Formats: sequence, structure tokens, C-alpha cells
Amino acid sequence: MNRLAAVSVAAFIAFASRADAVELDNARAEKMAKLNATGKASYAFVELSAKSIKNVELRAAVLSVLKNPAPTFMAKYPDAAAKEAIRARLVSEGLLGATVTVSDLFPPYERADKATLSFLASPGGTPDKHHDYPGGLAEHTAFNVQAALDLEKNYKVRYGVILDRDLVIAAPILHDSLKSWVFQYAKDGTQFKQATLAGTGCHHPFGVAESIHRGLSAELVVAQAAAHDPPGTAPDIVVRYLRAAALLAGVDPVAKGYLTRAEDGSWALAKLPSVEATINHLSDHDYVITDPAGKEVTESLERLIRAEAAARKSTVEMPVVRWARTRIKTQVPHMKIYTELRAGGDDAVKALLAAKKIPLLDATDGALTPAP
Amino acid sequence: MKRLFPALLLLSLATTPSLADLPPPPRTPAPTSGPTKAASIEGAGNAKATALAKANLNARMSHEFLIASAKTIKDAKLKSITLAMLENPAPTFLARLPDAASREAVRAKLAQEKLIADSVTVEQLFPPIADPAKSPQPFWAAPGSITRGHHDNPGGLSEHTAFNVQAALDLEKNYRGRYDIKGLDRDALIVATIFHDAMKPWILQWKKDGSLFTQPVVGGTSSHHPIGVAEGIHRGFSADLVVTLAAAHNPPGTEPAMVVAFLRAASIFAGVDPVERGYLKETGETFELARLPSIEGTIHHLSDQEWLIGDSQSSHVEAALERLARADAKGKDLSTAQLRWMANRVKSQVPPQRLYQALRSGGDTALAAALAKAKVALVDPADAPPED
Repeated sequence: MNRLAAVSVAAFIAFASRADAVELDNARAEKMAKLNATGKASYAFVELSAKSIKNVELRAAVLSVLKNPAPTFMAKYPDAAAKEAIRARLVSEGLLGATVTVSDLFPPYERADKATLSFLASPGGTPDKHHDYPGGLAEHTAFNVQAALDLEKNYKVRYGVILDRDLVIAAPILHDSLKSWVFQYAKDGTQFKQATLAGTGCHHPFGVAESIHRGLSAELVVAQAAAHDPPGTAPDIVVRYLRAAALLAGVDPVAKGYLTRAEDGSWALAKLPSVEATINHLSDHDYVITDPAGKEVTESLERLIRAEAAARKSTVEMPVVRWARTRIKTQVPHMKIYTELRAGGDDAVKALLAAKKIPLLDATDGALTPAP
Repeated sequence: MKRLFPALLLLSLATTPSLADLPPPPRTPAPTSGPTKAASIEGAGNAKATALAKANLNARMSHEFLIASAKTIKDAKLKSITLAMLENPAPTFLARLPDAASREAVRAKLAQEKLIADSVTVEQLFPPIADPAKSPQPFWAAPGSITRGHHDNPGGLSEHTAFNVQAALDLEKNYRGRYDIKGLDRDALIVATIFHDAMKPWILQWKKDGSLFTQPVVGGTSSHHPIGVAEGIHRGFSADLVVTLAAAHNPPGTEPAMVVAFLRAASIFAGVDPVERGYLKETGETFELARLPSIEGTIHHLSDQEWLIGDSQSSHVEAALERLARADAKGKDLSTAQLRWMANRVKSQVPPQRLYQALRSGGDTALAAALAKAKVALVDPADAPPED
């Protein structure tokens, strides 16, 4: 057991959803994030952007989420019976698969008012997707906030349209903030697997529920809910996210001004789609390259790590591969690795890492196994 | 760029610069009017739309921005090609398809390759044009999309393209700054965003009733896209640039099969082998992109996504304008053609994006107030369809 893993034992919580309960190792991610220069610079940019929000209540809420991205809405579900009741309600409303259990849906946590991972240490995705490393959430969010601000300026300059800049900043920051809860790290380097809720990764409706629970405005809630699908061309999907989030937060989405409901029971967005909501959606689209690029980089690094182990006349187990990959990605942005991979294959990636003096294998990644 | 910036700033402050502040419209071949060969086959509303576009301040400024952006392209040949396209967006690839037989051969090949439906005709694939070396309307007069779609007003293409070029340049800066990625091809981003919709002046011509030509589906998308890629191939673009250009409608990373279809269709129009050219590779009985998806291709795709709200804005604004115009006519009947030309006129005088903000915040009343403030009439004798 290496030093970092030993530290994490104190934070042991079982992934209760798994038959073979897995130890968490969020503490290791916290340490790695402190070495992620891009992640730290990104977090600073996100925090600075949040501080420029003019609305006092919204600014305080966003800064509070950055400081402690906790699922505070879970205070509504203090025990197993309450959790089962909301799970059953989501199933009966057609928003959750019937086979999804309470422990599949709600990741482990000690207290609803305490984040399981800091915003800085959280990943933005899983290894087959984008930003799957400590600091990845901050990098992803910083990219999105910048993209959103650029689009806001583009609308202003090109069409003379003045938008609500507070919403443009707040929505992308809040959108993914509960990835800190749903993508926690296990000791073997895997991450918690988020359930599908309302047709998308549960972090999205969870995040919207959190904003509702924190009392944010209807315009903000609907703009945030638009992140994964555009309200102009896919309003029914945004409606679904808002229904799930409203159920989780225990509010009536009609009374709150998010939705309307016709006599036949059909739902619709209460207002015409906003440009701010569309910008939130458009700014969250980096995944169309970072998902496939992230997967290519993950596979390339595994090939190189295994080759390095073989050169040391050893084999390497998957937990070591995972932590080595994660360590490397916290030191070089995965999109920078991808550009090298695209230009020159694994050799170019290896050369990039060598130039930056980043070893493919490090003692902190875990022990190698002598080759037979 | 520097010359243009003060004018753009003025717009952002919602002041009203005069048309006289702008340079004259680019020296683009004017659409032919009168009883000529061109008028007899090209869109009967082209001249009227061009007249409206001349008074579209926002489109004129947008076009200036495009020219300024094109002038920053470092590669001399690409810069020249792009500026030429802005000056005269002609489908020059038609030079290799001069007659009915050659065009039918392309149609049949596309159908055989399952890239179009069997029912698509040669006439639908190849809209009328008097001279393939001369665009039926200027870039700055063309619409940005189909009737009731985003930017469907005279000048909408320039506005849409300018928004996209700016979005692409912003994303390039974001990738460079956030991830320390050096060497992104800025030239390719500017060229691709300008070229992508540049065949719309030919494909989306104006009818007498103020509506637009319709375009068939080719390779799973609207024909202007693969045809624009074909034009890029015909004008000698590199393989990387052609693939970047082809990525506009779908992302190469998550939907590579769509981009492959666009490249196959474009190659048939341009008469080239996409494998030999390095766009695609054969894998058994199918094709894949020859290289891993590029960030430039992805940026091009991302920069072309404003339609996700633009379509909705346009249709809501148009419906509201029709309600208001009918009310303003006080019982007098307004024809569909009058209403279409009214919408074309109004939207070319006030950006529909701005009208949508008024509509969203205060309904028809707020929209009517915004038009009154801008001194734009709802009913105007000028909205009569052009004479034959």
C-alpha cells in the first residue's frame, strides 16, 4: 500500500451499490489536484468569474457551491425510507429505470452539507469520457464559462442583444458542480458510476435540484436545466430534467414558474426559450471532441504504461494503470496530449511526457508485479 | 479589423450609425433584373431581396467583418480564394458538369451510393443559374437558411457567418489558453466558417412570393453543406481543410459516420476519390475518417450551432409579425406574399434576435413597441411582390 492510499483509509465509505464493496480514495484525488497547475489556474478563473456576478444572492450561492459543492438538497432525504420514496416517485413518473436502486442513484456521502470532493479535486468525467482526472471539473467549467462569455459578447456585438451576464456565468458553474458527488474515486482508481436520470447523467438533474433547493430564480433554474439539450429545438427533454429536479427538490415546477401543464397532462416550458439558456447549452459542448479525445488518450497512456512496465521486466495491474494515467493527466492537459497523439501517435505522446519530465510510472502509482 | 471595431462598438451601444458610415456594398455582380436570360431562370425575388439587403446595416457591417477576417488569413492562396468567394459566391465546380447528362450522372451516382433518395431530381440538386461563374445574388444579400429558419432575411447569410467566424476564433483562443495547445490552424477556421454556407446564395434564391427555394437532403443533411464542401475541393483545398469544412453540421468526434457521408457526397459532386485524396480510408465495405478528428473540425462544428435558438427565434418572430401586420391592416387583406416580403423587410432592418428579446419579455405588445421605436412600419406598399 502506498502512502497516499494509506491516508485514504480514514475516509473509508463503501460503494454500497456494488456487491463487492469498494473503498473510496477521495483523499488521493485531493492530493493530486494540488499538483494540477492547469486545474488550479482554471479554478481561479472560475472563482474570479463568480465574483463578477452582480446579483448579490446569486453571487453568494455560486461562491458557496465552489467552496463546498455539497448535495444540500439531500437534507430532504435523511433516512432510507425517504430516499426510497423519492426513488419510487421518480420511477412512477417515468423518469428513472425501475431497476435503479437507491444506492445506485445516490452516491455515498457523510453529511448533506459537506462535499465529498472539493470542486478543485473533482473530475469532469470518467475514463472513457472527458476530463476524467482531479482538476478536470475546474478545467471543463473554466472552458465553458469562457465559451459562454464569448457567446454573450458575440450576441451583443453582432445583434445588439443585451443578455443577463449573471445567468451566463452562473449556469455553467452550477451545472456540473455535483460531479464532485457522483464521480468519487475508489481505491482502485475507478470512479462511482452515475445513474441515468430523466434520460441523462444524474449529475445534471441533481445540479438543477440543488439550485432549486438553494432558492435560485426560475430563469437561472431553467437556463441551468438547458445544459445538456437546447430549449429551442428539444424543449421536451429540458422539461423532463426540470420535472426530475423539481421532484428531488420537493417543489411544484408550475408554481415555481419553470413549466406549464395543460389539461391533458402534458408539460411545456413556461416561457419561450432564452438565449442565456441556449448559451449554457452551447458552452457545454466541448465534449464532442473531449469525449473521444479523452478515450483515445486513456488508451494511448495505458499502452505506454504497459510498455514501460514491460521494459522494467514487470507487469502492471489495472489499479496502478488507472492511478498512473490519472497522475499524468493532472500534469498535462489531456487535450494537449491528444494533439500530440493525433500528430504522431504513441511515440509523440511519449516524447511530450519525456520533455516535461513526467514519468510513465511512478512509485506513487502503486507497486509493479515482476514478470513471470 | 481595427477599422471595423468602432462601428461594431457603436452597434453594441444600441446607437444608430448611418449607412453612409460604411463603405459601399462590395463589388459583387448585381442580380440581373429585367427580361434577361438570368431573370428568366433564376429566383424572381433575388433583385428585390438584394435591394432590401443594401439597407440592412447589420448585414453590411457583418460582411465588412468577414472581409476583414478573410484578410487576416496568412496563406496567400487561401486568402485570395476566400476573398473571391465573398465577392462572388459562385458554384464553380459546375464547370465540370456543364450539361444535363453530366448532372444526371452525378444524381444517379449519389442515388446508387444511397446518399440521396431516388426521388430527388436533377433540378432539385442543381438550382437554376444563368452562369456558373457568377452567383445569382451577392453573398451579402443571401439568406442564412430556409424560410422561417434562422437568419432567413436578406443579409442573413453575412450576419450568420460573421457570428460563426467570431465564435470559431473565440473557441480557438479558449483551447489555446485553457489547454496550452499550440499550432491550431487559424486560417482553416476562418476559411471553413466562411465557405461552409457560401453556396446558399445559389441554393437559397428568392422566389417572387418572398419565400426561398427548397433544398434536398444529400448525405443526410441539407444540400448546401456537401455542395459547399465540393466547392472547397474544386478550389483546391488541402485534405485537412476539406475534412474541417465537412464537419460543420455534425461533430467528427462523436458522429464521424455523418461527416464521412458528407465527404463521400462532396467527392461525387467534385469528381474526386475521397480515399486517394486522404479524406477517408476504406475499412472493409465501409469508410472511416482517414485521421483522428481534429480540434479545428470540432470548432467549426461548434461555431455553427447558433441555429439551435435562431430557428426558434425566427419562427416565433415571424408568427408575431404576421399577427401584428394583420391587425395593423385593419381588415384589409394581406396576401401570403405581402406578409413574406414584410417579414423580409422588417427583419433586414432590425435583427430578429433583438425582436425576439422584445417578444419574449413582453409579447406582441413589446414587439410592436420595439418596431415603432425603430420607426419600422408593419404594413408598407413596398411589400408588394416584384412584377414579372
